Amino acid sequence: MFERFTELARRAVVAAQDAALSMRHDFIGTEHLLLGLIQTAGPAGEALREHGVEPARARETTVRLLAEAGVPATGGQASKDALASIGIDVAEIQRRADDTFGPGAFRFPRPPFTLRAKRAMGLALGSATALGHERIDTGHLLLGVLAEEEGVAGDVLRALDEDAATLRQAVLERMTAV
Amino acid sequence: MSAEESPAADLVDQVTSKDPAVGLQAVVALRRLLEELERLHVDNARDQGWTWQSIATALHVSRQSVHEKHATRRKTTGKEK
Repeated sequence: MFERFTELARRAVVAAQDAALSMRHDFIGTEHLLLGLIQTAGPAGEALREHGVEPARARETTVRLLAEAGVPATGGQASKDALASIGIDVAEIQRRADDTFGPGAFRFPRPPFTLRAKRAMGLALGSATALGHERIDTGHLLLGVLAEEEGVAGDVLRALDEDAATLRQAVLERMTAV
Repeated sequence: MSAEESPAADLVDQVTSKDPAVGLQAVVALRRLLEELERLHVDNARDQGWTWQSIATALHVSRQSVHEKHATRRKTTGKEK
């Protein structure tokens, strides 16, 4: 599916991973995709920012909602501890990998996509197909995130008093065939 | 740092735990470590000019499965054309 993503959509997904890493969450959920989209150019970011979804405010809200839900923000410490319990020292592997391959080549734990984030991306593909667009752009990704209502992104938008239907309309108006 | 946040306390808990959840968590973490190491070494092999077939042979898997798993990712992240 990623091979059909536009350059901007790919950048948004990378920004989503960076958001998860910087908040020390051990997963990439719809809320991180939303943050990635807000920070990236293209119809999704434009529509979100125009409706007052500011990066800083959205980020604060995400941090607060996940903390309230008891989601760990420990950079995957539990996984490192689990490996330590069977005698594997991740810090040592990290040090050697950085020395040999350069920093960033090895990353543990690398946050995986949640089921809902995967579904949102599947829905993005669906909306591209429905609109007759060849490639998946940031606008389709936002439509996918908005359609996956049960995701935390939905909670973040509700906490910010944003209406999903309004955002949907706004992004559709900005989308051109890609 | 409170007692429950101490890594040493966590470690003792895990080593002595008969709780299946703890052992299974280690299995999941190990699987994730394996995936990350595979990614690291496949990237290194490709950067050194290895063919997908030689990588597949070294990993004891089919060329198709290694290609499916890593080629798109490398293209997407700009590591390969």
